[in-house]
Amino acid sequence: MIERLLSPTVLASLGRLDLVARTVVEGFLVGLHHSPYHGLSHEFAEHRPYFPGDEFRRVDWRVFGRTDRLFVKEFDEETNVTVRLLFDVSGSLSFAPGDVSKIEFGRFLVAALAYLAIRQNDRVGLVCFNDDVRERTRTRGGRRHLHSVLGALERVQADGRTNVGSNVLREASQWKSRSMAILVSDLYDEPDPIVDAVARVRRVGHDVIVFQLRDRAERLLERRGTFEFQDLETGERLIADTDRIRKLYIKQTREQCENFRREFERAGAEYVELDTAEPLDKALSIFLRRRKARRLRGR
Amino acid sequence: MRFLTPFALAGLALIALPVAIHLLVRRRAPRLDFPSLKFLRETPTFRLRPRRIQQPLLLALRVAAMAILVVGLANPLFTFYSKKPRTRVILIDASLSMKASGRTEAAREQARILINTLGAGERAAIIAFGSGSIVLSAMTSSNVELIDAIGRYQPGNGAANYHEGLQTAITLLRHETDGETLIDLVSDFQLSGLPGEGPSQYFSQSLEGTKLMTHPVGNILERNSYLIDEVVKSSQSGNEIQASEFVVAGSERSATHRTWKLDSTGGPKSDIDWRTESNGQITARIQAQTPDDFDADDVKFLAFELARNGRALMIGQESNDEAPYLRAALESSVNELGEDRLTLDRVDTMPDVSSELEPFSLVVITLHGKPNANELQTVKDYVTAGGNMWFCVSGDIDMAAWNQFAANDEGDFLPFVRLERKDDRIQAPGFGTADTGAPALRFMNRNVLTALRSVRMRQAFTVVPRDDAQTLIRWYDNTSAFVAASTGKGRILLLATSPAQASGELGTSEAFPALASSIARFSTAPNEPLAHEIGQPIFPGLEPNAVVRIINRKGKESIANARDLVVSPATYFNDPGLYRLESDRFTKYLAVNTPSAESESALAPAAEIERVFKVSTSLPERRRKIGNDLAERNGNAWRYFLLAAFVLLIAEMYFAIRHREKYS
Repeated sequence: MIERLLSPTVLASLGRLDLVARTVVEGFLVGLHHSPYHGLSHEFAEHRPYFPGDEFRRVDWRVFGRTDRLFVKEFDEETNVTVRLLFDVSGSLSFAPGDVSKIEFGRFLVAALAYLAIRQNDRVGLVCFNDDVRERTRTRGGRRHLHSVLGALERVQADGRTNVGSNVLREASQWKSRSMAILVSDLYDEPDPIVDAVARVRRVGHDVIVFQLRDRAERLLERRGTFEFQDLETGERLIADTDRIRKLYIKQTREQCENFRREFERAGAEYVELDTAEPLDKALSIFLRRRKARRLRGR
Repeated sequence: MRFLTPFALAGLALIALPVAIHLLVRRRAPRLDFPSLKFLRETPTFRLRPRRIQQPLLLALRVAAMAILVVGLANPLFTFYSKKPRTRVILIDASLSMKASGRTEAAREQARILINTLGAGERAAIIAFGSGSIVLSAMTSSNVELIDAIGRYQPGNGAANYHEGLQTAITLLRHETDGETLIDLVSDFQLSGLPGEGPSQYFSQSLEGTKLMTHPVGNILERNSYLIDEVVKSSQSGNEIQASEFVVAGSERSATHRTWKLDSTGGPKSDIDWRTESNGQITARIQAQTPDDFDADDVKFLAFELARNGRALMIGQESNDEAPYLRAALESSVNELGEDRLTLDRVDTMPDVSSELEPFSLVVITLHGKPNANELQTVKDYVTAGGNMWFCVSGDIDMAAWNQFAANDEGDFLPFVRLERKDDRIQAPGFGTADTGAPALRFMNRNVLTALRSVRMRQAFTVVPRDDAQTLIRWYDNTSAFVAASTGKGRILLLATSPAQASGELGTSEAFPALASSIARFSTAPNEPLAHEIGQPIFPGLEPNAVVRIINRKGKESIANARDLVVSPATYFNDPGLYRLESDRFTKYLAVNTPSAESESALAPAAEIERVFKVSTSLPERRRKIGNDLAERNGNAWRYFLLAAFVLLIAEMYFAIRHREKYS
């Protein structure tokens, strides 16, 4: 049931992006079998003797019952994570062979990540870009900020050519604190600048997750016959018989993905290939896993 | 289906054109938005030809339109009820009635119409039938030959023997194993030539799956007269020929009884021409007097001997067991015929010389004990001179002695080779089948024969007849019971039992006086009928292989075996007239006339034809047939083909435009 609710097709039918994000995250968290309000924002550290002036409600009455002495519980104040969402909105994401286009799927994903992060008192900043920045929000926490993020996502349209590497580098150069950068893109750009940009961001201490969005029809070149293909970013055209080129196409795209995976891992970044037909819980799980690892490293 | 311009079918090769276009011509590729062309490679143009048929619906429409267009231009003709080529026999009635006004030409015209409707490759044969059948054209697909054969069609003088004609047609068609076979029967369908009520004798034969179509031709005669029921009578005022002259005028029929006196020296007159021939026979030609529209049946020919004075003689003791029954039977014949035609005498013993028997037309003897050579010599002389002898066989006969006598030369005139006593311990002997056409039995009717079959005997013999003897009645076990043989000019009849009470029930049976009467009348009547009809078998009373010379009045001569005269009489007697028959045993004259049935002018209505031939001549079917013929003649089918091709092209345009809009 949860899985069905999180499928992109169902989410697309919800319409409002805030509803989509909430449905995704709440459903996802229920699936984790523990509440987001326990142990995520505040974690127990140690007991110390009670001193006058301490808040009486912080007394641990169980320890008092066992030892007849008053102790209060000390909690570690969790370090907030700054989540930088870098969303590629170039024309190639307008590819929509099925029910959900790549740009829609990307919106769902970014919205869900933002919702989840803000739920956990993280600070979230969004940059939508193609060859330049199309939408940007400030980096903040709080529910009100979530609305501005979702509003930006709803405004943006897939258009223009992309320039992933330079955009990532430019944005990263402005980050004052170490952040968790999440790049959502189909990565139809020169691979070297992308890999180089991600590596440089990692080197300065930012955590990086790269979500590459691809559609099944695009991945497997499913349509049969001869078509005049038109590039959604450049407008270039070529005629090809898919039956004749499919094998080579699949081979080359797979090599490209493997190359990204290898290079990003080498740089210490997380690389995830997402199909637009897949539920979003996979992406959220990776986000949480990565966030926890980062917090442990930070402690 | 066949084509008037079949060479246009070569255009079917054009079907390859749309197929080639669909296979070879590069189709405009539909546009497809794609995220990036980075990993796509342009396919060279020459490799863009589709490896399978593109847009099969459009291709099917184009191929169908092309095929229908070409077929239409080939000008197709349909025969809706005959998918396979038909083989037909045109069977034309050549009987006498077809000579009536306009019928000959009407039959020819109908046959020509049938020939003209033959399809390409269809074969036909033409048979003319009357009393016999003549194949005017063997099976051919050449219309010219068939039309020529129609020119040779000429009605004869015989009766329409539909059975014979259909059998000949079936024989021709029996070798045709491919396609539908059809017989077209062209006839005037004279009502008198068709069987009466009850099951059709013609259709009861198997047509072996062949269809039969009837084509009535000719109109009813306004008026026709003809002669029937001719007899020759002797009276105190002399000999005379009597006949009835029938006149049919529309639906009215009338008859006039006419008499021709033979009291002069003969020679041609207005309505009769008769003469006494060298063999004592009288030949005559009588003429109908009422004017009519059909002259072919106005004349009748007769050939006969003047009847003897009827005198029967019983020889035998009055005390013999069989005597009362024989006497009673013969006296009843006298009563039936009248004393002016038959008298009866009796003597106890056989006269010493045959001359004493000569005044009698019939001598009746019952065989007892052993044969007496002297008595039998008298019998032989009497019979050879032209007398008629009737033997009955008593139960006390010395069979071995008679068989031995019959085996000797002196007994060769007897009608039997051997007599065998029938064993009555298993079943009392009874009579079986009878040759009702035999002269001696001609005067017995069906009821008498039925009564005869119910008679059971106690003492009876099986006759092994002489080679040239005829079996007139058989026993129930198919052995001979009553035989007849000619000896010289006379005849001997042998009944292998007797009317004696000791022999069985025959003497007391009502059938016996009728049998005796028939024999008595036979002995006084001329040996041959006055005249035959064309097609009737002639029984010359000779061995089957005996040679007979046939000479007509014009002196034209032909030779035949006696068997041929029975089997195919129309071959030798196909014109009405008088013929002289000569063999080593006799010279006699034969009169042959046109069949009386052909003189009846009424034509059968459609329902009667349908009943007899089991063919449907209902209006809808005729209309379909007429429509069929018209469609074949007019050859309009090409218009429908062109229309269909046009509709298909419209559909093709519609789908092509939709396809273009979809991918543009």
